[in-house]
Amino acid sequence: MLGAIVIAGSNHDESTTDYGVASLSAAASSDLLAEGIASTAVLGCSTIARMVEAIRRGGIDDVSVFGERKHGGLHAGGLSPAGYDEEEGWRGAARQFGVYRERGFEAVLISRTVAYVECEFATLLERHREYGEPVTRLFDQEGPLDLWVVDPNRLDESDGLLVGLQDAESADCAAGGYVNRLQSVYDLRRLATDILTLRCRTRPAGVEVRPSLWIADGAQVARSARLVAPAYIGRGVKVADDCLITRCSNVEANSYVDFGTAVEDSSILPETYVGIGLDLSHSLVDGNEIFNLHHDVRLRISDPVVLRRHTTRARSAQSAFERKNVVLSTTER
Amino acid sequence: MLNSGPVVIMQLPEELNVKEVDKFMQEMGPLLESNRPRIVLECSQVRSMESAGVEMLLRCLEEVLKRDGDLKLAALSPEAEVILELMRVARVFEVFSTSDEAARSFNAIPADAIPQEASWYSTLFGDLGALKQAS
Repeated sequence: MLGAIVIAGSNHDESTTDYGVASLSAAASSDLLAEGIASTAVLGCSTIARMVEAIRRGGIDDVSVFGERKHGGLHAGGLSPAGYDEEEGWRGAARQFGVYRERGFEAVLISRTVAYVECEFATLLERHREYGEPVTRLFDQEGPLDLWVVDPNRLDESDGLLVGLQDAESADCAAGGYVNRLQSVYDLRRLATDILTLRCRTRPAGVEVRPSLWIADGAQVARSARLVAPAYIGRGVKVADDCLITRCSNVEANSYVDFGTAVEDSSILPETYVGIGLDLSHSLVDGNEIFNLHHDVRLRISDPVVLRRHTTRARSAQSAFERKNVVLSTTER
Repeated sequence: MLNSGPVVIMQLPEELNVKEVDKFMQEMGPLLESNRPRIVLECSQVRSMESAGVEMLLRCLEEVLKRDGDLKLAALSPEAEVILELMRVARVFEVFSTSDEAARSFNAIPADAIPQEASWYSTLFGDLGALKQAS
């Protein structure tokens, strides 16, 4: 029997570097990164959710996900809580590991999800059997990744599961597939672009209405708005008249792009309002925060008419949009 | 026009919010009302700019153009650049990397003062006026 434990990794936690686990460098002060990039929805789905799906596809049905939510609210995209307490996650993982051992599992795959990794899990498990070490760790060109296959009966975890993993005799296994370490907002943007341009296996959560143009359920796009592929429009998103969404841009769930705004080579994270007549390019926007990747600048916009968090109350106040415009949703298409 | 008065270089505040805009406009007021104002706004200190700040820049430009003057921006901080691009006004202004460069640009020789060379067609076909008269 095979099991898997996924721990939601928060890139900002400096204490984890003591164990040699991947840590974050660039723009670490950002709220977005503090909440953990792995929990952020990219093309309708968080990295954690994508990992779980990939593990299940690899033939491991018993998958447990750990990570306590620090503050309320859920990001869109299912398994994407806004912020984790990683320590609590590791404690839960240790308990589950004990359960797997008691139930006589042959191998347990442990993934601390910070990076997005695509690998053949079946091959990885096969390699683990071949190498015969208690632990097999995944590597890429840049070094170790936080993904291990463990023999539950041969791992000493008396000092904690993470310490046990670090101290155990381990074999290295190369990750053959796509790896994105998600260490900065640049990586997050790159992940969106790579998914849209089919550089990795995972696909956007939605319907491909035209080649490389993806729209999720409940999205409303005004007739005079232009969507140029590759692009992604998330669940419950509203794109107003005369807008342009182009060049690998993704507008995540429940966001609102207002009249005449052009979004080019940018990511708009869930529940974000982007004001009227703007030119958003080479950027990542989360609420009222904008990261311009061209100028390497992070700005908080205090003007709510320009950028703001798009709350439920604000959404209900937009009935004018719904009354005035003839809109298309994916179900109609 | 270009040699009419001194070039005034002014530093924009770190935050261009409604309050700072009011303060700045009080300082700018007399300057905007002068004849042919020549203004350089130095933007290196700008860290944030609300839409009131962008509106102020556009209003200043409008005023100086009305009085046959000009307003140029210099040393844009990355923050200012991002905001001006986001609000679609970056291309409205002439932007220079330093305020010295911007000030010098006012003293450039005006286009109508440059002696015009004969156009390429006059060398090929001669004087069109003479041709017309002959016909």
